[in-house]
Amino acid sequence: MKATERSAASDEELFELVQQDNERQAFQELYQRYSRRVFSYCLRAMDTREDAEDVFQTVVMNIYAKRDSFKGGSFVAWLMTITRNQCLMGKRNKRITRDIDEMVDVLESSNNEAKQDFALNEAVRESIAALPEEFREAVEMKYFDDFSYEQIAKATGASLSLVKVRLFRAKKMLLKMMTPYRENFL
Amino acid sequence: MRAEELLAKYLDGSLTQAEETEWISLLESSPDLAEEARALGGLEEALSSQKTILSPADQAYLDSVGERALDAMALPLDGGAAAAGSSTAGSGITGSLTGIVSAAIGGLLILGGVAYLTLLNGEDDQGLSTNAERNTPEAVAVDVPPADLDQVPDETQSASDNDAAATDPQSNALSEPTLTSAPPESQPAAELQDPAPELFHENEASAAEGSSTQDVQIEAQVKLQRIYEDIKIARQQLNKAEQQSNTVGQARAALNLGKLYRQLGKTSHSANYLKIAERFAKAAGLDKIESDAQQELLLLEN
Repeated sequence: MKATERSAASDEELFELVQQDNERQAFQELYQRYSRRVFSYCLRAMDTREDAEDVFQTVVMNIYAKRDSFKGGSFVAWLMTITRNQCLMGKRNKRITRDIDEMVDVLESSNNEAKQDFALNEAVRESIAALPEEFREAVEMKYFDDFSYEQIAKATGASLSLVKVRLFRAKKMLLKMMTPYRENFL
Repeated sequence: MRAEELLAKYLDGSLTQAEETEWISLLESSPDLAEEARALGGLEEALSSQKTILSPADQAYLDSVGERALDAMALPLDGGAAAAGSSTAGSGITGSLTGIVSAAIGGLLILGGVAYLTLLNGEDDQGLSTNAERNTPEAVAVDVPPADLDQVPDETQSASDNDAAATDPQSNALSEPTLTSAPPESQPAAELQDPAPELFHENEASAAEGSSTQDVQIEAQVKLQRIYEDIKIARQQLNKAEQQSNTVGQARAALNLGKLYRQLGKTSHSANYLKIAERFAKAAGLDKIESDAQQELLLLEN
């Protein structure tokens, strides 16, 4: 497959090439499409960058190692399921050693330190965190990861209309939670 | 109800021409609705501004992982057996492959090893048993510890954890033999079972000289803490250098991080930072750092 064809190919077509022909360029194209989003997801989901890197690498490894277990359907749904499960597993493993981590005080969060701590941004983050899980996830995928409605629907296994409803309701809930900041949005 | 529907479509940008006319008419007759629409539009902008922005160092890291994944593809991996075979032992590609595999395994082993020390100290006496139902995200999220921490976990246990994490939404093919279940060939089994060999071997020697078990544990913890503190400092230096677009600083900090992670036995992290260091050093013409990074990478592969 030529480079132009690859860039136009669907995720599923590309992954089929990875599965059947072990085609590196197809894998590379998929990696370019999704690595930033998956890594961003890991950074948000995990407490530290180190954990996010651990999870991300395991996801990348599993995408290839378990390629034969993808039997069709939506590639992005499969990818995000693996990513979410790996994050949950990573958090669970982290919980086991939380005491030790606190003892050695290594939970550095350089990203947080580098960020400017505007009250509005904090309020947005806190409000998003307070949303019900399926709402929060849809908001993060839409606004943080640039997923389209269709991609969110595929990734979460929800219908397109349900995703739209969730996002609309989520925004209304956020607006309500952020009443003190409402004038900032006008 | 109609207003809500139109509001949702307005925010999506999916109003038809007829709906747009109706929407404008609604806005003119309802200032509250107009304000709601403006506020929601503003909220969307605020949400978009929260987007995770990856730095050049993040991109360099992603490139590094991507390259290694592509390297791994050069191997026949089916069934996982090939990865454990000896025909390609010692090759650079194998090193990359095992680096990725051992990252997952090694990471868990380090956590297990550290937790083991905690247990020896009597700080964690919870009953820890395997959760057989941990394949589902829900179970993972709710149930606490799956591993038996009375023992430092072996690679098989860690690999099965990795497999469980990669739940396939369609076929749930968790038990298939995969790359993750194969022990990395370039890393001796003894090292696998000892997550931070340099630290723990020193501790064993101390114990032989008559130090009390507790002293040994404290000593190990202090050493671990020092390394993590150094990592924290090196990360801060890397961030600062990145903000200042200081390629030399980035190369140095990345090299330090690579060395520190190697001391922890985190080969994959180490390799990633060393490759980043190598890249920055090459870009800045820093032969010494480039050479150091290459030597460290060789050490990792061996």
